[in-house]
Amino acid sequence: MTYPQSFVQDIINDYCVPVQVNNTIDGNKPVIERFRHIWTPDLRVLDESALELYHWNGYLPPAEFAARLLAGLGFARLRLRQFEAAEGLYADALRRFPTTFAAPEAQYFSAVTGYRKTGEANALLHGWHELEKTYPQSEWTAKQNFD
Amino acid sequence: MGGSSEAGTLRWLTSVDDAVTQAKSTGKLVLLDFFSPT
Repeated sequence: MTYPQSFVQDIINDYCVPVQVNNTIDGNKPVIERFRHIWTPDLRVLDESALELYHWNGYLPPAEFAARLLAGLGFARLRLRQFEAAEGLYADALRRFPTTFAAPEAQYFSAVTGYRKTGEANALLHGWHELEKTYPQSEWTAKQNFD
Repeated sequence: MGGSSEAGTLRWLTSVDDAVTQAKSTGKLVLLDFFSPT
């Protein structure tokens, strides 16, 4: 996959060390086995120990890709308990790409990030209320409804 | 060990181990893209 759009390149350059693995090269078999790669496009976000923190498959148009990447990076930072970084990434995804498929997920985990950061249930409930209001048909809205 | 390739202004590494090493020194996360040339 190529990434000709400058706004996509900027997100990658700002937040990532990018690595591409050609799955048709015999020499890449060990890394293909290591990550259980099976289908392209196959994008992973890894930490500095090569632990996979986020993953998606399939082609996405540029704005969808950018939003998915910001949400994935946000989730990676959240899992690393780097809450300020996660907050910034989710806020960026929601501000720049509010109508994308990844936006409801970003809203969901933005609320989780606030809760994990502060321990305040109101942060979670307010964020999830916004999710329900803004993205009522989203899978993530269904996921936050634990009644 | 891998080198790097260029697509647009992105400099793609070709080795996960090299990317991990660079991630350690920069504090960035690794974006790993498996692809099949068309």
